[in-house]
Amino acid sequence: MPITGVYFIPAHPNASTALGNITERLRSSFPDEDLIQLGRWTLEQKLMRDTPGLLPTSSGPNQRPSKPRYMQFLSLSHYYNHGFIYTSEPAEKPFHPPNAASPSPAATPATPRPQGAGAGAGAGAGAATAGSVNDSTTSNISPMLMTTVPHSSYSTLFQHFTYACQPFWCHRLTVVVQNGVFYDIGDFRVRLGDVRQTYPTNRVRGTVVEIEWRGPSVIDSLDGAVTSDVNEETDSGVDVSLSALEESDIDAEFAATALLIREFWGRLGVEGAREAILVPGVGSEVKERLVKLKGARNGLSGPTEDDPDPQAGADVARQYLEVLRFNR
Amino acid sequence: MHELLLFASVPTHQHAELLQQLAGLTAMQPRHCFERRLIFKAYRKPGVANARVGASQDLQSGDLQRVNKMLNGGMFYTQVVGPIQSADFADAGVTDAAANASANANPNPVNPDPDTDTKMDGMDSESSIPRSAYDFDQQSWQLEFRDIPEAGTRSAVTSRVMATAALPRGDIVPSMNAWGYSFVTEYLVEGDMFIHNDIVLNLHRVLHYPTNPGEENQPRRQMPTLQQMAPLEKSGSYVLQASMMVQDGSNQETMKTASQHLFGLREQLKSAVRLEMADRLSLDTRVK
Amino acid sequence: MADSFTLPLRPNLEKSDRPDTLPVEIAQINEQWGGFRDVNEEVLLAKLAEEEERGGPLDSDEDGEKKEMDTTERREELYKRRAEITQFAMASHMETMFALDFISLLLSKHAPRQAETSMSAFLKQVAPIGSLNSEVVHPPPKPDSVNKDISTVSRGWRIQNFNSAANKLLGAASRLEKEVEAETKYWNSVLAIKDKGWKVCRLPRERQSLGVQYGFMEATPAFRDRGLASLRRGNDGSLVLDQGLVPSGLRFVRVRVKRGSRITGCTKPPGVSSNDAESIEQRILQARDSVFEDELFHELVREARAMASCGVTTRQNLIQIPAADGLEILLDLVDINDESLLAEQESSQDDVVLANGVAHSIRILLSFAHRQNLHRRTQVPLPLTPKRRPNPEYHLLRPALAYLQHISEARYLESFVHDIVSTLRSSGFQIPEFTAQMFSNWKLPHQHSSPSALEGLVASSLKPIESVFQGNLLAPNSSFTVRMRTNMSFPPFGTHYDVSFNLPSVPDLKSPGNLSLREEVEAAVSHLLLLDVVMKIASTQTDEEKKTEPDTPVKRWWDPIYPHMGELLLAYDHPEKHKKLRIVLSRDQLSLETCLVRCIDGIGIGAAEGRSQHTETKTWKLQQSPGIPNQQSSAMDFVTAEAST
Repeated sequence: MPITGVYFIPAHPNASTALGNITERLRSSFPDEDLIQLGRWTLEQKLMRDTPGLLPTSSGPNQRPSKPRYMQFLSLSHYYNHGFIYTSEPAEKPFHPPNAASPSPAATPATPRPQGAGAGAGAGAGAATAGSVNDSTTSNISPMLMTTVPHSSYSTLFQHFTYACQPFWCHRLTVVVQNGVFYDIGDFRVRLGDVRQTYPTNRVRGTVVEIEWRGPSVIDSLDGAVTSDVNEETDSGVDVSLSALEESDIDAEFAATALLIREFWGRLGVEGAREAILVPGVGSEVKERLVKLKGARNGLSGPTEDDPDPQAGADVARQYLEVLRFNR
Repeated sequence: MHELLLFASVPTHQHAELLQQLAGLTAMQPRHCFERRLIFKAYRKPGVANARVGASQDLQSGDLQRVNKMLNGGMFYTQVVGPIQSADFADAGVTDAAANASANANPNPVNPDPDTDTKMDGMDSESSIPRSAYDFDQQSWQLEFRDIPEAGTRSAVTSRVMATAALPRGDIVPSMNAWGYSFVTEYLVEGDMFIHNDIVLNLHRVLHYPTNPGEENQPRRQMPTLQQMAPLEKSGSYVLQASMMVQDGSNQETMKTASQHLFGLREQLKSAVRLEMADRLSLDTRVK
Repeated sequence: MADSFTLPLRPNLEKSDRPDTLPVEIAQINEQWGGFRDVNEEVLLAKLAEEEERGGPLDSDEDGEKKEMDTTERREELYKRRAEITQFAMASHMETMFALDFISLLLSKHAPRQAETSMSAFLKQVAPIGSLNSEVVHPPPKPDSVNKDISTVSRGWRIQNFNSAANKLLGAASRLEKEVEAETKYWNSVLAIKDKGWKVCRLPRERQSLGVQYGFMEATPAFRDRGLASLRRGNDGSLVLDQGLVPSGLRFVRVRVKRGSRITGCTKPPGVSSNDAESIEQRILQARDSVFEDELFHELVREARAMASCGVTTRQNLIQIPAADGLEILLDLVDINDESLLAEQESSQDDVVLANGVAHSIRILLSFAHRQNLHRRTQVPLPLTPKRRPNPEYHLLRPALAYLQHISEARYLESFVHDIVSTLRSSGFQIPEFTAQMFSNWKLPHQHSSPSALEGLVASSLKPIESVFQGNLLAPNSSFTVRMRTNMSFPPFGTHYDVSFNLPSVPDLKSPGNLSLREEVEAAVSHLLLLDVVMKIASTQTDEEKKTEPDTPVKRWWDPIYPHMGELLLAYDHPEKHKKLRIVLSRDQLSLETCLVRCIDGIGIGAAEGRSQHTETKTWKLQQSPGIPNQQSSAMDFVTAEAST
C-alpha cells in the first residue's frame, strides 16, 4: 500500500479551477522531468448525513448539539476492485457492544488518533513551508470507520441506504472527478482532476491533487511478506527485518513520507489548499497486516477470488474522503 | 430488484421423495447448503423521531418537510448471510489433515510456531470447544435486504423489493453498527437448492443454535456440532421456496413473464406439493 | 394350467328332439334330386366346387376393386359411409322420438303431468292431453301347432345367438391371447433397454406412450428435444423406435485435410458394428450418434460464421478453414453410407492422423461444452431482464485452429533456430544447444480419472497455447528466450512472440517486445546472434591476453565499432591501413569480409566509408555442402589470421 497525500484547492462556483495553474507549476517546478500524461482516472464520492442531524437545532439548554454523522461512498478507478465506505462510528453502542478482543476494524480507529496528532505536530515545519492548511481533522466529527466492499456491492449498498434507511441516512451530495490525469514525476505519481458536484445541483467544487510516493518504503516489504514469509530487505538500504518492525516504525515511515510529499507540494507553491496526509486511521491496515504477520495469523483481508487485496487503497480513500467532506 | 416467490410446506415424511422429484424435474443433483443468517435491526436514537418543530431558518420549509418525511420513513430488519460448509461444524471430521498434524505436533497450540502454519490457521485454540476447520475471520458475508411483500397485487405470487450485496469477510458487526444496524440474533438454514431455468428452488428448514450464555450478543466465532442444532419447526418439516429475481420491478412485462414461469412450475409440481403465495404480514421486515 | 377349468360357451345341442328324422330327409332328397340314383359323392363334390367357384371370384373381384381405389375415391367412400351412418342415426333418433311421443301421449291419460314433460312441443300442439287410451285385448287362443312352431323358431334363434356369442367370445379370447403375447414381448424389450441403462420415460406430449431418452440433456434445445424417441409396438409386439420426422439416415462430420489443391487426409466413417445391426439397442445408439453429429455440425457452422474474420468460409454444407502454411481443413456433414466417400484419395499417413485428431478434438470439445452448460445451468440464475441473453458459440474450431497454427509456427521457429545455430556451429562457434519447450502451459493432471481433472485438462486447451524457446549465447551469462503464444479465443488473435534476452556485453540493447510476424522474430533472433558473434570476436582477445605473458606488446585486436551492422575495425597506426571486418549472418550463411578502409570516424558506413584504392578484400564463407564437412578453417581462425597480418 503506497503512502499518499491528497490536496484540495477549492474554487468558486463559477470561477475557473486551479487545474491549469497546477499543471503549469508542475511543468515549471520540475523542468528535468517529461510531463507525460500516463492515463486517466476517475473518482466518485457520495456523501450521506444522518437525517436527524439535518433538523434545525432548537438549541435548548438541555439539548447538547449532536455531532454530525457521515457515511461517505468513494470509488476510485485506480482501485477498481472495490469501493470504500467511510462511516462515522456510532456515538453510543446500540444494544450489545461487540467484543473488540479480536483484531477487528472496530478496534483500529482508537489507536491512530494520538499518532495523527503527534505526526501533525512533528511535520509542522513541512506544512508551514508548503503553505498549506493543516490536517483537516475537525474535532466535532466522531471517529470514522473504513469498510471496503466488493465493487458489485458498492452501488447496491448505496441504493439500499437511500431506500431502506431514510430515517437515519440522507443523501446530501455527489461529487465526481471525471477526467483526471496522472503523471509520473521522479519517485512520485501525481493525479490531478477537477472536482465537480453533480447532486443536488451541478457546480464546480475545486481541484484535487493526489501525490503518491513510489519510492522505496518499509511498507512494501510488508506487502511482499504477506505471501512469502521471508524477511526481505528493502532496496532503500533501510535494513529492516520484519521481526524488528514495530508499529512506531510504521508511524515514523508515514511521517517521513509525509514530509517528502509536503516538500514536493511546497515546490509547487500553490496557495489555499487543504491537505490530507496523516488523517486519523491512516496506516491502520498496514499495522493490522504487521500484527498478522508477526502472529502468523491469517487475517481479515485474505485475497478473494476477484480481488487480490480487498483493503488496498484504504489510506488514500481516507485522505480523499477527509478532504471532500463538504459541509451540507 | 424484485423477487417473486411461491412457498409450500413439506412434511418430514415427504422430504426424501420430494428431493428425488425435484432432482428429476430440474435434471440436477441437489446442492446441499448451510447458511448462517444474522438478523440486524435498524436503530435510531430514541427521541429524535419526534421532529423538533421550531425555528427553521437554516432549512427551507420544503426541505424541512422532506427531512421530516424521511425521518418517519420505514426502517427494516435486514439479514447478513454467510454460506458455510458441513465441514465447518465442530466434530464434522476435520478433513484438513495438515491442521490435525500440526495440532498433534504442537503440544501448546496457544502459541503456534509462525513458520509451520502461516498459510491457513483454521483452528482457534480454545480447547474447550470442539475443534473444526471453521475460520470466522474468513467467513464471507452478504447483506440481504427484503422489503415487506407488495400489497394488493392481483397476481397470486408474493413479490417484494430485494437487494443483495457482498460484504467484506470476517467480523461484519462493527461496520453494520456504524451503518445503523444492530445485531439481534442469528440462526442457521439447512437445505437443498435446485435450479429450474430461471427459478431457484430451495427446500430448507431453519435450525436454532444451542443456547450458551454470553453468545447471544454477537455472531458466533465457532460453530457447534450439527447434532446440537435444533429445528425451529419441531416436527422437522421443510419449506419449499420457489423464487425468481427480476431486474426491473417496474417493467410489467417481465414481472408477468416471471410469474407465469412460477405458475408453470406450480402446475408441474401440482401432484407433489401445493405452491402458493405467502401471507404478506408473515414476511414483514419492518421495524415497529 | 392343470387346475384351470374350461367353460363351455356353445349351447349343448340335444339330438333327441331333432325334428329332421330320417323319413323327412329321404323325402327332402327325393324332392331335391329326384331320387337316390344319381346322387353319389362325386356329384355332390362337383356341385360344391361349382358353387364355390361362383361365389369365390365375386369376392376376389370386390377385393381388387377396393385395392384399386385411390385416395380421393376412398375419401368419397368414407364420406358416403359417414353420411349413411349419420342418416341412420338420425332416422333412429326420429323413430325413438316418435315412440317417446306415442308412449307419452298414451300415458298422459293416467299421469298427465309426468307424461307432459316428455312430450314434444309439436305433439302438445297437435293432440290434447289424454286423447289416447289403451285397453287390454285378449287375443284368441292359438292352436297347438302354431305354439309349437313359435317355440321351435324361438329356440332356433336362441341357439343361433348363443352360437354367435360364443364365437365372439372365443375370438376375443384368442385375440386377447395374441395381444398378451405381443405385450409381453414389447415390455420385455422395453425392460431390456432400461436394463442397458437408457432412460425410459413417458412422452411429454403423448402421455400414454413410452419414449427413450438418448440425446444430450445439455445440448441446444432443438437438439435436446430431438434426443427423445417414442418406443412403439409393432403388430407382432416387436419394438419400433419412432423418431418422428427426423431423417433416419446416419450422418457424420467428416474432416478432410487439404494441402494446396489436394486432399491428403480424411476421416473414415465410424464403423457400424457388424453383429445385429438392426437390434433396437443399435438403433438407439445410431440415433444418438446422429443427433450428436447433427448438433456438432450445427455448432461448427455457428462458430465458423463467427470466425469469418479468420478467413473461415461456410457454405451450405461445408466449412473451410485455412489453418497454416497452405494447410486447409474441410468439414462437412455426409451420409455414412455414401459410396462416393470411399473413392480413394492419395493420402499421407500424417494428414490422416491430423484429420482424426481434429475430428476427435471437436467432439471432445462439444462434450466439454455440454458439461459447461450443465455447470452454468445449475448456478443461481441472473435476474430476469427484458433483453435476451446472447448464446455464445462454443469453442470447437478455435482451439483446433490455434493448435494447428501454433504447431506450424513453432516448427518453423524451431527449424529456424536450429538452422542458424548449426550454421554458427559449422563455422566453429561453440554455441550451446537451445531448448524448445513445446506447449509449456499444458500440464497433465496428476489424477487422470477424476471428472474435474479431465475438465481441467480440456479447459486448459481453450487457453492460449504457449511454447518457449530458450538458448544460451556465446558470451557468458547471456541467453535469449522466445515465448510464443497462440490465441484464437479472444482478441488479439493469432500468434504473438515475446523475445527477451540477457546480453550484458551490449548494454544499451532494448527488447523488441511483442512481435506478431515470424519474419520479425527471425530478424530479431539473427540480429541477436550476430551481436553475439561480434562480441565474441571482440572479446576473444582479452581471453588470449590472459594466456600470454603480460610483458608482450599489446596485440592489435578487433574493435566492434558498429556491432549492430556486424562491423569491427582493426585500428592501425597508419590511417590508410585500417582494416574492417564485416560479418553477415543469415539462416544458412555466415560470411566474413575484411577490407582496408581509411576513414574510421564512425560516420562513414557503406559507400562513404572510403575504401583505400588498392582494395584488398578477403572473404570467408561457410561452405555448406553436405559431402564435404567443414573443409575450411573455422571463422575464428580467419579472424585471428586477419588480425595478425
